[in-house]
Amino acid sequence: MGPLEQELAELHKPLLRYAKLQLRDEAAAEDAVSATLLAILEKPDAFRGGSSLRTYATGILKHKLVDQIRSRSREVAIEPLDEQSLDEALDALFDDTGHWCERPLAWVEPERAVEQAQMMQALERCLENLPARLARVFMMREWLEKETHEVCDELGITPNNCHVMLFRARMLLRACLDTTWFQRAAP
Amino acid sequence: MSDGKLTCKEVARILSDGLDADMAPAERARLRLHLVVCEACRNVEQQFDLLRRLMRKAGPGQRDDTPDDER
Repeated sequence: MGPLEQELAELHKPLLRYAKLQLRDEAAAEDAVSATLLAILEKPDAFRGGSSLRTYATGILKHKLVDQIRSRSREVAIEPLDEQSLDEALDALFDDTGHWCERPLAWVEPERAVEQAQMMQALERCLENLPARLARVFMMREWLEKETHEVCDELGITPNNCHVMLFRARMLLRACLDTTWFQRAAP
Repeated sequence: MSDGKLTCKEVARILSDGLDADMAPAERARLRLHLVVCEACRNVEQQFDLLRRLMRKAGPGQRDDTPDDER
């Protein structure tokens, strides 16, 4: 293997992990990563080393993931969302007057690089634990950085539903990160 | 709600919506009013913002992904 192939081999797993976080479908994730690696190998000269290969490959992967979502969003079987229990869980965070039962405390962002990396890992674990449908919408919005109307269109959901899903995802993620990283007691 | 004041529960949803769509000026003013008087919701605003910043930075490059047993 040449140096490029060697570097790509090392990138395979990391890319796949994020593809799975976004797509929640093993086979589709493999396809997107393969398409990414192939695109780089087909035009090795296009990578000029201005950024790291990791950054370059991630940029291509994001495009391939959008392609995957466009072609497959309506056919991929994705675990249905238990909306009722989710709503109940979110409702339980507030009392009858709409105030927080347990008032959220400020997060202190770590300054050291090691801790920042650990916080990112904690976030990744929280993303993995997010219900698949919420994760897909949230990752499209916040990681692929799609406009909300694009997310709705690509996934074939109404704008209101889109906003509800993003809200639920943010609430679950903030609670998860609060508990697992910022070390508050679980609500 | 008759006095037009928002509850924390409503504010959480509005903060999230505000990250995804423009907010009407009147709604924004009601939100700011609540945030001025409610530290808990200011913390939530900060946390939603941090989630966004972290996600923009997130990606395969952010950590060493090779498990120790595979080195």
